[in-house]
Amino acid sequence: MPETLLLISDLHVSVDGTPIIKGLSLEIMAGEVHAIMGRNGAGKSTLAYVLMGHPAYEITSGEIYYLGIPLAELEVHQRAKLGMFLSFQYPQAIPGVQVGTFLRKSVQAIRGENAPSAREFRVELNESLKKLGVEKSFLPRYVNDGFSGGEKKRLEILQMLLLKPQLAILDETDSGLDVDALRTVAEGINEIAKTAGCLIITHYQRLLNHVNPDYIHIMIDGKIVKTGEADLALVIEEKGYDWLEV
Amino acid sequence: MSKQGARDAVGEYQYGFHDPENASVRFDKGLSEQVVRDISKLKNEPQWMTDIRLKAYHHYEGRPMPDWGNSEMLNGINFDSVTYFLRSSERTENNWDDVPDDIKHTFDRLGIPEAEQKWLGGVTAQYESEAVYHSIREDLEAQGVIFLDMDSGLREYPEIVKKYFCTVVPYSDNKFSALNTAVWSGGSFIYVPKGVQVEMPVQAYFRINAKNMGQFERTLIIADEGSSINYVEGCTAPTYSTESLHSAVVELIAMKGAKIRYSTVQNWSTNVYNLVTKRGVANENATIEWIDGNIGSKLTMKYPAVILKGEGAHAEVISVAYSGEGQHQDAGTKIHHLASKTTSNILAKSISKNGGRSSYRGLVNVAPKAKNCKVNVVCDALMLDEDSRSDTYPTMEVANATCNVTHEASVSKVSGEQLFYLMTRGHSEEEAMAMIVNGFFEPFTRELPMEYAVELNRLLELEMEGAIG
Amino acid sequence: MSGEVQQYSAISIPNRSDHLWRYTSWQSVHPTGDLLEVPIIPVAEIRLLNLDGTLPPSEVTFRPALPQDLEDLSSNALSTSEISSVFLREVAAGRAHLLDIPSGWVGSQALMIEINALEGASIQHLLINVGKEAQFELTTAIRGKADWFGLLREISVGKGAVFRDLIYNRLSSTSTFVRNEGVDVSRDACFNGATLSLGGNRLKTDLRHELLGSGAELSLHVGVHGNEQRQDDHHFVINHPVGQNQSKLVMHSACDGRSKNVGTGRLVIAEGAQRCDAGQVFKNLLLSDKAEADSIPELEVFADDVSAAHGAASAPLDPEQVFYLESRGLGPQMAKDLLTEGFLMDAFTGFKSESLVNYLRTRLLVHLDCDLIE
Repeated sequence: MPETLLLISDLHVSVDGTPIIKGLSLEIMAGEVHAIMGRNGAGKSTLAYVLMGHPAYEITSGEIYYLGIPLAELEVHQRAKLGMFLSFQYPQAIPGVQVGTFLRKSVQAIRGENAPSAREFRVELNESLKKLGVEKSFLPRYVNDGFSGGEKKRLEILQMLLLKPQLAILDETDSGLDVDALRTVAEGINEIAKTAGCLIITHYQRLLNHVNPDYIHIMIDGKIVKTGEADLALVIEEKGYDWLEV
Repeated sequence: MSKQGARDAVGEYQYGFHDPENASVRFDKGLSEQVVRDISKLKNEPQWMTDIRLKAYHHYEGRPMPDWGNSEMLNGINFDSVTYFLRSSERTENNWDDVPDDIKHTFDRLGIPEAEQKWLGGVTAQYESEAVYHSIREDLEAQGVIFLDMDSGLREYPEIVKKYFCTVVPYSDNKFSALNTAVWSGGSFIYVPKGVQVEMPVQAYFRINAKNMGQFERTLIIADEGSSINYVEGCTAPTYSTESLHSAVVELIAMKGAKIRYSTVQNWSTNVYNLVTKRGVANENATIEWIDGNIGSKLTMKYPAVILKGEGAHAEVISVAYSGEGQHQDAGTKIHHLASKTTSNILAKSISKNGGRSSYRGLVNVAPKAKNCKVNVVCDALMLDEDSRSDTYPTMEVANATCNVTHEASVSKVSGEQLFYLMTRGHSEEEAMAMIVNGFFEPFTRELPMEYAVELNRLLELEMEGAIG
Repeated sequence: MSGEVQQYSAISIPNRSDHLWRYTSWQSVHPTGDLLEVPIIPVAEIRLLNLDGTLPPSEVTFRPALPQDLEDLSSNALSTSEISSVFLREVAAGRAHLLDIPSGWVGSQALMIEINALEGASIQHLLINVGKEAQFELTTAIRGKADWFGLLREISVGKGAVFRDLIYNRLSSTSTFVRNEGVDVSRDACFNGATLSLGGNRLKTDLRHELLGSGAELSLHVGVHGNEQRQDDHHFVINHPVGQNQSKLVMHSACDGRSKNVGTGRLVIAEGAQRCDAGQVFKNLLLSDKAEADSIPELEVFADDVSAAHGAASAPLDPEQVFYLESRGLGPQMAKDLLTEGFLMDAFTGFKSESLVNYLRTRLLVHLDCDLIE
């Protein structure tokens, strides 16, 4: 029987006192791919941040359970260690820290005792680089410093492959990508989706041509207003969101 | 405005005319303990004020000249040739018609008191050492706002003056604050009661008319809890071949939640030494703003300061300096963050031309206990030719890990591309230059009352004449 | 030095109103505290190697300097009247070492000077002459248990030469380190200087640079790790006496523990030195409430057709960066450590020697991961 990864019930979230998420419920089982669609400002990125524990977002009411644990009790890095992963819409640049060092430290932190040895890590890293079509010259560069939009997104997916999360949250990972990069990202997601749960946040349908979501949720003004299967994305592509508004 | 238009509007140093001195009391040149005693006696001051003056005098005597800044110019001041006190009118008038004709004539030429009728809440006009004309709108008086010249303030409200005098700027702060405390005369005294918002700006106008005159006005502004006031001062002096000294002290006290804005446009003629100490204390959630324009004088040394003493207090300093031939504007600001969540914003702009020198000298200090403070400093310098000079000496001292401090500075020249673009739109090179200069100072001028802004722009246009080699 | 060198005994002891000594008094860095004294101090151990530990190439001369060398290679940039330079010169009393790089020589790998500052007090006076159109890289590693170590360097970079220089100190945590330097950069020459300041307890550094010819290029990169009681005071002077040259200064101080971190820079563009491009950036990363950061980026510009920008910023760790790292599983302490490392390494972005940057990265990691745990 599949296990419940994530359970959100009647969630309300505020930023600086302004309510953004206003009563959202969602359940994700292991092995499922969910996509959340909606316009800018609907609260999609807020959901991603609040799941990962960003300090600026305040849960005013409602509950979130991850693997049966109340999320509110966990620090950001503890969530990561328990298998949650967020691919950022705008990844931070960290000048002075090399990509290679950063990846190694992250893998050590998250996989702990099961972390690969230096040699194993190198092999794993090379495979992932190859899979994503990323040059090795990436590794000595500083994290996201002077990266193009596509490079930043590739680095996010590279981290996802190496960290092997149980629940991957992808926040607008598809925006600003050319077709090749989009395919690369989609392959990364499909790879991870074999075993893990996936929550894809997007406002385009195009990524969904390459990955097959089990469910599509439409989010308007802080709530999920409609849930359907993959074909719902096509309806949205055709008709937009207006018909869903009250 | 055309070049000729600017000249018509401003004239050759527009305020360079001078009226014959008709002094009723004039002290001999030079300073001694006796001169200090005599000034105090003449004003019928309480003993404590005489005592403070004498202490300050002795401190001044023993204090060496500052050994930083433009020592060459500073050491050029001949303190013995300065007249330390000059009374032009026997009393302060409340009715403009009663002001002696020659003084009235001068202020008429300067556009006072028409300005008052148009837009000001109150005016004090000071001629030489003492105020000659003073008026305040009745509605402000009815709200309990006290706006007097400093001598009258001491006479009528000695307990308030005694409580605050020298508390923000101690006489021992520097050589010139000691000198001012010893021989001060005139200046403004303002008290705004709790919760009173003075919306119209109040104005003071200072003028040196006599040769070798020292002007040492002393200003004390107290804004009680939740009140606000906007004070504007303008300064001019006629052009004499001998030098004058202006050494003022300004103390501001903003109580909890109060706001004080103090705007100055200093257009002393270019043989005046302008050595001024200005400082304010901002208590909890109070705001102090210095809007400071330095266009004239030979040497200005002025660093308006704010002590952010109460949590949430804010300081805003916007200053511009223009240095032409033979001038040195050594200006800047000092902000002391003593309490948490205090913020400060500093914008300093300077222009140097014809060998003029502009220096920004600043200090930002964040105390160990002042958490979550924010400081932003921006200095921009524009150089109009290769004989000029621009210096920046910003000091930042941060003693805890929760604050954000940024400083940015740049030095640039007027770009040929900009000039060319404006000229293709039909402006002469001088007009284009004036336009760029006015644009550079715009963040400052937009904070000034309209009349000052217009006057400043005209002055700058005039200064641009002959700027193109 | 240009002009007559003053005698130490003729110089009055500076007080706090002197800009250069505002934050660190001369008394506090003098080797004996007897300010009237010029003590007799032994010379620290010194040797020259290739960076990989092999013996240096024969084209390079490294030997005790002769009186004539001292005269010929006296730096214009060094002050003739500033107390610490004059003091170091008198303490060294002519016992200098010369590194002479012949004209046109191109090093195939970086050289390394190792200095061992002996227990007690010791001094080293180094003359570095880079012949015209030579190209080479040098790292100077300073270690040792000295209570006091003084380093005076006079560097001349000949026409069209390229010299990339790294100084890295890991003196013991009780040492006082006084370092003065004069660097003359000739026409079309390039000097890239890097300093990684990790060791010692009380440091006073005064580095002066003169861009003597047009086309000269100077870049300085400084990383300071302030921790525990460390007091690190760096002063830089960059003079542009002629036009058409470039200078850049980047200093990053990570301010932790009860450390005091000072960076003061003085950038002077002389009259007529047109089309100079000069920039200074001081950044302080505030890691502890007990640490102090003081910055004075001074600018004196006498020419009008120049680009001179400078900035200073002091800020705590960026919470967004911390969040990003924590979302990758790093705990708060690890996130702080990694960001500190990145912040310090970022001072060397633009330092054009890969081998020296790799070397200093290793030194920094060893310092952050091992030295501090001792």
